[in-house]
Amino acid sequence: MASEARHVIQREAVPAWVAALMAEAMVIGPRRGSAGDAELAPLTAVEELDLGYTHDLLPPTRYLLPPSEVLFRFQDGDGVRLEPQYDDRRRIFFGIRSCDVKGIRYQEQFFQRDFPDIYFLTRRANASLVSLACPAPPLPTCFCTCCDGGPTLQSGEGYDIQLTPLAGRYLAEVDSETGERLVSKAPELFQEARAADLSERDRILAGVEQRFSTTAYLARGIAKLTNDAVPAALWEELAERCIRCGGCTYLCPLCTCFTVCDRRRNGQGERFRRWDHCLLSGFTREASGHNPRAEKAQQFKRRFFHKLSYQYLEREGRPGCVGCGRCLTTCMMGVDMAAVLMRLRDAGRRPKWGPAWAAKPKTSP
Amino acid sequence: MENIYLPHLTKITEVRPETPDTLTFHLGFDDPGLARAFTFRPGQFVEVSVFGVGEAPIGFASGPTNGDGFEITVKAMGSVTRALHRFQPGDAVGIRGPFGNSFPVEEAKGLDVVIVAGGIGLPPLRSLLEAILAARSAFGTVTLLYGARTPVDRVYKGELERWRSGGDLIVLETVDAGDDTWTGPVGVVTTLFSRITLDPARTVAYTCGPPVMIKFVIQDLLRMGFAEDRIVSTLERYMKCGVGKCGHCTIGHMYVCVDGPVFTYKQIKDLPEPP
Amino acid sequence: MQRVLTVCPHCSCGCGLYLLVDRGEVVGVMPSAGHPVSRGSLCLKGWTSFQHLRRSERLESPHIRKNGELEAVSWDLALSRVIEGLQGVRETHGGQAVGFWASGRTTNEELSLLDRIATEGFETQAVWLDPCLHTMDHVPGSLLEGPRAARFDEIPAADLLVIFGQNLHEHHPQVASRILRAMDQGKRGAVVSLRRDLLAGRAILHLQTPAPEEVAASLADGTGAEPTPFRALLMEAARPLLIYPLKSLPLLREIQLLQAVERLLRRFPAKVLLLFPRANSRGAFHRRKGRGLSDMRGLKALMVLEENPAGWEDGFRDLVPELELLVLQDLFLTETAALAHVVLPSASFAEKGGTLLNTEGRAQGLQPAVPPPGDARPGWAILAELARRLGISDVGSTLEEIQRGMRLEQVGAAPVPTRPGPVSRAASDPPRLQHIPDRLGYLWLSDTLLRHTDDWQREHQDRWIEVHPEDAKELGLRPGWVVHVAGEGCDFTATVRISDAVGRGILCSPHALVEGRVSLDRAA
Repeated sequence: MASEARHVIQREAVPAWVAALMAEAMVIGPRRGSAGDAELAPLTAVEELDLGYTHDLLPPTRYLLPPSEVLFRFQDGDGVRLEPQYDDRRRIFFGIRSCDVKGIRYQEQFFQRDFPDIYFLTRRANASLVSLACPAPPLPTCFCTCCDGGPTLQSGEGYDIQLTPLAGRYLAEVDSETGERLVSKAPELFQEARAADLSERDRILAGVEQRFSTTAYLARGIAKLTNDAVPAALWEELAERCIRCGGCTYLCPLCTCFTVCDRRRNGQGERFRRWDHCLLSGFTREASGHNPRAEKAQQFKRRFFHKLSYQYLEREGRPGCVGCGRCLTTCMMGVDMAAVLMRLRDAGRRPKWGPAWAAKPKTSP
Repeated sequence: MENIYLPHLTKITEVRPETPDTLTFHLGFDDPGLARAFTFRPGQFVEVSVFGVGEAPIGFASGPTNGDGFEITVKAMGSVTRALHRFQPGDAVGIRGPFGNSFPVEEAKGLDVVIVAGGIGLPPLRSLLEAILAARSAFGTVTLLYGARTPVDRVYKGELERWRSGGDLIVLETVDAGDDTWTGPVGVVTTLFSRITLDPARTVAYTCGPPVMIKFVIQDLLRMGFAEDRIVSTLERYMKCGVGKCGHCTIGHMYVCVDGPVFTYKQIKDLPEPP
Repeated sequence: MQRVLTVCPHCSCGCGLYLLVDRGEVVGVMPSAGHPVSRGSLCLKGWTSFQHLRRSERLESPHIRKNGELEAVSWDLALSRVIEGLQGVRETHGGQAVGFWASGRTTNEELSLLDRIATEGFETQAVWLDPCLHTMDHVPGSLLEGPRAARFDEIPAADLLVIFGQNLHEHHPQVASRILRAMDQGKRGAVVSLRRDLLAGRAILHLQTPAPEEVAASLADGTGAEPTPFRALLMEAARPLLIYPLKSLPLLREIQLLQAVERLLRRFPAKVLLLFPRANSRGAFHRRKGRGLSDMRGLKALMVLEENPAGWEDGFRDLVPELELLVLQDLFLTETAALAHVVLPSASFAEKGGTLLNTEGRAQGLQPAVPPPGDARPGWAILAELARRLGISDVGSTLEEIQRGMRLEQVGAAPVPTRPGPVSRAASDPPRLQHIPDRLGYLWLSDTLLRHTDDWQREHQDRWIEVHPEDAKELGLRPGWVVHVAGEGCDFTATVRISDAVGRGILCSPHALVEGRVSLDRAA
């Protein structure tokens, strides 16, 4: 960490700062899209900036790991020529939420491990993060507080600058040289943070957990999945409702699975990758036709094992959920993370009619 | 940073038919520097590219050599392997790798070795065998038990004869169904156990083949008294990236392409999903 | 990545979705959170709706058949050939010998142009649409318009949800989702269907029957000695909602069911929600003319728009030898293309503008996100050019001009077709099971767009049938076996899946359309 400088910027000065940032790079910032949807998307004019931004249904990780991308082009000729396609565009994410920064950090570690993924890492290396902490949940579906997913970030968790909304202004905590540089694009707009600013921040964030209404029993879920202590019948019941749409995967800031395909026409073509999801039978079906994970209940159970087991937590460094709530919005059938965790919590519990029933003596024949 | 998704180009230098649906390809590198630098261990695999169709993960079928390329034995099963079967010597093929872990070989030095192969499971074990034969004196008795569906479905027919008559290893074969030319045993490969003597306390067993065959082989080995970490096998899964990123080949928390494909029985018996 | 708001091209729910565009390519899609239908969700069809756009087999040039093979030619040549052929047929056989076949994906603008071409160019009423839509000719508009016709947002308000049909969660997931959530909240569900599916499993009453039209009729007419549990439910409900997915039944039986529903509305304070199959089936409904295949005898020229009748319509291939000109406008080569004299490459939903009506009658607009590949053109542009070449005046050359000239009028009722539809007959030995087609399943599995959608193709690689465990035991069938299904009009191989979702003695399959008794033999 280059510095732990803390500044304050007045709310009405923010557009001018963003305008200065837009002169340097693509700013992916909060705006309102068509149909009134909240978006974190490339700003074409600073007037689009919407400081009342809630949360984008599309996770910002999808700018670094897009739904589909060309890996390389190939051309028949003397042998074959391969041309890899890299994306080194500069991006400044402005207003990205804490949960999504944690998602980016998770994906960074995943793509760096063993065999570094040059496509993701190139985009990540060219991305700066100006995050926006949440003094209250932006949406009723948020549950980051149950998942170590927010609502604020500590130094070293991946932001370049963290903005926390105070009355009429933002606290700006700088955590890297990049953050320094972004502040220096419009230094006259910033003042040093004073003790009063910091204590206002502390006051706002103390008690933030009480403002979240969705509860998810993550620790309980992790324990049960790690120990394979969930009745098979529960997985069957939950999986039956799942219609395999893939929304929970595509919209999850921590999901990274993809498939790779070739496309060819007239002597040239491309190899591309595209997001993929594990509730499809084709995810594991082998060329012989054999499918080791053919039943929907097995696929459904396995998805939650990947997200919540201790075995994966150890591998990835954190649980596979940041509580962003997107799967709650998108799941049409009510088998999203919070709903499933609630059922897992209750799984195997003693029935309501309690000890008297359980202790009923056997009658002799 | 290396691009792990970008294949290197190789050229097919030889194609040998093994069975009606299986061919062995010898692949050589265009780039002499790469040819020299390319090393691999038995049990590993490469992702073989047919540009415009896709990739398939295929295990090395030859032992580690010096700069001479390598061999793969391919059964025509899906779109990539079928396309590969139309290739001729001189054609370009992309490869990425080597990926995966390898057969533990050091651990078997000083011990006896029994290799139990079924059908298309023999190619990766041939890679292992060649490595063992290259350091033959370090091992005790080496036995190969091979079962195929019919005599025509046996791969490496010529080599099996050479190994059998070479004196370095004991080779026993069986087929599920014989034909007019077959004079050997008929039955599943586990029936060959009764024809040899094994001392489980000083033997490492390696087995590859169809999942149902592996299941019965492992059962028999355990019954004979083999320790769980002295039984070595491979697991197969649908793969795409081969480098632990796409998520397709997971079993529980293991990625077959990174933590495998070689596993001991001890590692797989407690997996939360059936292998 | 830019986001372009448009509508899903698949079912008639009409989800609002964004095409995600980067560097000139559609790289993905996502649902609109604020859209009243999608509300942040899509089904697998919606999520994969971009995958067909850059398939390598996309048609990029017009083709004319020469010496038995399709050859790429210029637009001018192809359109001249079409005009020449159509006009030739008109001169020799009259305008009535020219016909047009649109699909449930054809936009309202394209339908309006087609209308003008047919009436002004050929004085014919011969515009066929999703054949199921003629059933609407003798059913009152009250099922689709007016106070009894429900919209999706009225589902939570109902206290009894009656569904005549199955697999809504696959064919109309947004509707199934709202029904499921209502049942979670304690609202009652009653399902009348052949197959026990997700909603039937959650309903308080599931009548398992291959003849939902008979159940509807008996409810409507109060036949039967005493009130059945079903009638009791209906009588207790203050706000029942009846739901039926069109095209689940063959023509005559569907007519019977809709007439029974109409009588039910007179008896009970019920609302009704009819579900059209495709994205613009309702828009096409408002322009319907013509009949079914039987009325196509005598046609000498036919133009088919983005539909594949040779792939699934029983009598279509018999018609083709009579045709002097068969023109197909589509995105991919299909079984119909293999028979066509001229093939015109058209743009996909993501590459053109236009309007669609979802099943509620909600008008929504398509927005083009990228240009069509190669020389492919939007359907409206192809039809506008054809209209101009036919001498039809003031057609308009931009989409806006065409929209200004549209006439959204309805066509009046017409007599019921008299040719009887297929009827199941008990045959003598050895056929063993009654095959009842899952017609909507068939519609989606044979759909041209979905057949060129990667994930859909990967998911539905095999043909399968569901057999009840008792039947499987009796017939000696094991799961995963490949069997040959043969019987009256039925002949296909499929993989066996064992499920008690369908009752004994029944085979409900989405892989063949003909109903009848079949036998199953293990294939080699």
